[in-house]
Amino acid sequence: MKTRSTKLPPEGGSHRLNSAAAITASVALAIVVGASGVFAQAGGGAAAGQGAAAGQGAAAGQGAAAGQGRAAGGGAQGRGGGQGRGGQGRGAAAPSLPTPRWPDGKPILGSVPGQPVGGWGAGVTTLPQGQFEKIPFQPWARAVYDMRQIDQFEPHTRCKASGVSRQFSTPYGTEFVEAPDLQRLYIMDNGGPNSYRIIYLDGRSFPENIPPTNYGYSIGHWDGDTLVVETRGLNEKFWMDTRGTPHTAQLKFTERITRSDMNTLRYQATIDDPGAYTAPWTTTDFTLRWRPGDELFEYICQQANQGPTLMIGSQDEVDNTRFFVP
Amino acid sequence: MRISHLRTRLCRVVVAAAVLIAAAVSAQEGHPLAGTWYGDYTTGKQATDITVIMKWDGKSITGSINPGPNSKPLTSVVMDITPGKPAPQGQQSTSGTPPVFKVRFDVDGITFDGTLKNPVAGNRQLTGTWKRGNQSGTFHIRRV
Repeated sequence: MKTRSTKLPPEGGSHRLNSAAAITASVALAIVVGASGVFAQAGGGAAAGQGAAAGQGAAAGQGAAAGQGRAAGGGAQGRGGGQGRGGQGRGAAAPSLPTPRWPDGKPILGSVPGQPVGGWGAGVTTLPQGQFEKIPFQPWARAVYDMRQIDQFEPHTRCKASGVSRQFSTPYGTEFVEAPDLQRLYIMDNGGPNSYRIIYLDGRSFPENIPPTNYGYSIGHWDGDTLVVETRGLNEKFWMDTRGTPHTAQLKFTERITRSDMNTLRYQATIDDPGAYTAPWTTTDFTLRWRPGDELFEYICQQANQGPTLMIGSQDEVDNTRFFVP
Repeated sequence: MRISHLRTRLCRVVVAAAVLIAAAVSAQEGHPLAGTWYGDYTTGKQATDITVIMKWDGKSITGSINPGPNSKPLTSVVMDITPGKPAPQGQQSTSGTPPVFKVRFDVDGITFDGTLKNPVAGNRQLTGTWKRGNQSGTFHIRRV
């Protein structure tokens, strides 16, 4: 029995916010913030409600041409009920400076010491993008992928840590925190469950019998200006992207991350998972944009989170009768 | 008498909560069959508990029922998928036809034939019939 009806954007619920809606929300935010200088709840609610519900709120920020989208949505109780804020507008194209570097010449992937912090906007939403028919799905994996386009139970919307590429499509961006002395890099995705992934850069090898986890065990090395990160020891409790591209615990996930200039991060991944695919495959290049001043903030995913409800059942009607497993 | 009744109800609530917590802890998103399934099969009006464990190694599914001293291996597991149809361009994806997952497994001379319900949900279920010689009945198991 369908007990409630909502009008969600086409193409997969609120976390597939279409660009028009995103721009509308962002512009609304920019106007609210710019005109009044205060964070009007109505504006915050609009953005957060659209975005936070299911994980694509960053779209709102990216659509804001004026770059004034930081609408501190604390208390926003829009449809999505998240704690949203818009990000810096992608349209605010600052002149592109060269890739910042550490004294040893390696690229800085995150904020530059001595300069305002920033983060990367969401940019990796669909791993098979642009080559879907070439993806060597095993039959079950293809069927699961198809099924997930209809019935979305993405763990991320239920505040579950979601590793590898899913860290780069969270609502409010992703921050790299580099600790050269520790030879580690931390990847923090806001809009998730307040957690982070560690990438070890100290030359270690993978341990044997890695206990499977949501973020897995990541080891990186530099290939020229590209950081190559291999992750193993992943469990099956998350999706790799917002579209539900399947994987199993046999997954070895290799990322190639290149900051080609100050404002641009190129991202490519190779999926080697004999449990779900008949051969390894590599994504096309994704581009993430630098959002200066975009600092991580406290995001309590569980608070007023209506994402799970929106993600159960079809996308234009909510089925509240179904048993729900977090 | 009344206290006994309340105790029984309390026990049921506790067991149900334990099952829910177990399901929440172990919800998986990988191969639709991999994991532990719990439910029952019926013979006439008699329902018997059954636990099924299935594993996916990338090529085949193996497993067993009722882990313990009387465990029996699954001798064959087959999943037949009828592909779905994507939604026409420009329409809600829900207007597409979902794929159908049919599952058959054999154990100890019994053949179980079922269909997955909610195949991409953590609490997916497998429901169908079983047959052994001239005996038959229904079964219903849920991923925990």
